[in-house]
Amino acid sequence: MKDATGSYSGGLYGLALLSLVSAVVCALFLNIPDPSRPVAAQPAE
Amino acid sequence: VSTGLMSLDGLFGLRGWQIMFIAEGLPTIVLGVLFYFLMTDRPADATFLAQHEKDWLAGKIAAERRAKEAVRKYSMLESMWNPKVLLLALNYLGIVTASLGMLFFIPQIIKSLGTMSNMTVGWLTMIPYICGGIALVVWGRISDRMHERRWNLLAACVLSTGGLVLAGLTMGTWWAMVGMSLAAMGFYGSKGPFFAMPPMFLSGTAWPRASRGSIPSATSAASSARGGSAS
Repeated sequence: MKDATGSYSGGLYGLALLSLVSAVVCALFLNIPDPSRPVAAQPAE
Repeated sequence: VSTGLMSLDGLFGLRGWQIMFIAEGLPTIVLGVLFYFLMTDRPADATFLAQHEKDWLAGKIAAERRAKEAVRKYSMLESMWNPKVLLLALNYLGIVTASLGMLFFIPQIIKSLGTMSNMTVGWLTMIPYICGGIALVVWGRISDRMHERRWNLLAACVLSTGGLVLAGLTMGTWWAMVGMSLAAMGFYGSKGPFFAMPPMFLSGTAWPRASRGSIPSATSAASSARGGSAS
């Protein structure tokens, strides 16, 4: 990516995009209930 | 350490980079052999635990396993195609590819900030790693105390993204170092919450083998392969 854009900045922006994809996946799809979580700490449904 | 080892060029007729690879690879090999003999598969086999500690730990693991299997039991094969596993793999792929891509290039980016010796570059390269190491421990503890994984993982991913953008925007100045340090904190801070998530739902034959071995290994291998080319 650095080679494609010709600068370190371009490479870092590309890597930031990958991190953003991870953040979006986490925010939208990784809602996994924890069966070992204490009852008092469970969010109200 | 790497810079110091590189300066030993010519020792035993080896090049500096060869000495660095050997010296830094040997402790890993020794630790691998030691772990094979010292670490056990079950608490009951651990000689370094007292009997009451073994009983407590075995009871805790059994209770967590029962709670998970009351919801659903996964086989190893089922876990490979489970949407949650695939999404976790996608999340890990993104964060590790970005992490390796940045960390491989930190020395070159630092070198571009001004004229300095390789030893100075080596010392400065430690800064993002130290920040990341602290975040690894602190973020894991915070996540444990909160009994929360998803939003902690999200915060780490967002911090990484912000750090990388800051580094990109301020390239050529020392603010880029601040950005890369923040990004490293996000990369390493994500490890604790992330690796606590697979055992929250995987059980049966999918746990511990898949969640401890296959998922991280598969995603790490894929990310490692793509990390260099992506950056």
